[in-house]
Amino acid sequence: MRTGGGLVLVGLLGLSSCVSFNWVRTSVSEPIPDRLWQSLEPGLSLSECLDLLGAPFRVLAGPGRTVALVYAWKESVDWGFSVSVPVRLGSASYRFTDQARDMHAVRLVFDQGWRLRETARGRLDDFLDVARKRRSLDFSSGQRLQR
Amino acid sequence: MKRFAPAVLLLALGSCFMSRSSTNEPLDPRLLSTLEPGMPAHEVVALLGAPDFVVRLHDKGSAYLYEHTAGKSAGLFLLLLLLANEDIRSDRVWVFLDAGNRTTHVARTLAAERVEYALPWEDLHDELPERTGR
Repeated sequence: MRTGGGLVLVGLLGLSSCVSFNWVRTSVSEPIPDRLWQSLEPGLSLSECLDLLGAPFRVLAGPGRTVALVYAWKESVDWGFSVSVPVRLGSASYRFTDQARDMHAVRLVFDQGWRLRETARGRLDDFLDVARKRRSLDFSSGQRLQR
Repeated sequence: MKRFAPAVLLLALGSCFMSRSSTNEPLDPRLLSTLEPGMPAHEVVALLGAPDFVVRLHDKGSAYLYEHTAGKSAGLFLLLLLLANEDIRSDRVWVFLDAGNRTTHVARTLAAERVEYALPWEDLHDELPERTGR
């Protein structure tokens, strides 16, 4: 029985060099509290919004001469496992991870007079994708570029 | 079984790790407090250096980003299981400039110094200070 226990321990130690299960908590930046989010109303000035929320993660030029401030953060627990085995020419590894990659985000859109026009909550990727698509539209449209 | 306890304890202790990382120089709050509306872009650059990012805001002007990021990770390998907690926070300053390259607004968030090591099961966002942009 004693030998069996020792073998199990040695087996686990041996496996630990090539197999691992991962549980990783990640925090990136600080979230916008609901209380502040709910206090945002159309018509607020840029100064008022900056006083409330601080510096945004990104500032984006939008369509119609609007400007968007994007605040983003991440709170996630990611899990997964990885396997690594030696092969003749080196080593091979496989990793599976269930990651909530997207960051939470809020977007504030300001009009030409720097007044808050609209707000939205979502994923950072969505807001940046929209900005990228719009930029590519701008570049593909000669009329818009000449404006 | 008690004979294995010290060995298991030693193995567990030997598998702890802590690491830290940072990007760019920390932003000096004393310098940031001298930024004011009306300050021309060349003075902003003389004070803070080249921005990390510049966004052109149509014909309204532009916005300069200054950013410093700090990260801390702590974890534990338990034979086959990796438990870790990673915290990343930033000092971020946006300087908004009008079409004449004069400062109109300044927004700042200094959070990098609040980055911390934590046990894997600890929630780092449960106690946050009041947000303020000035």
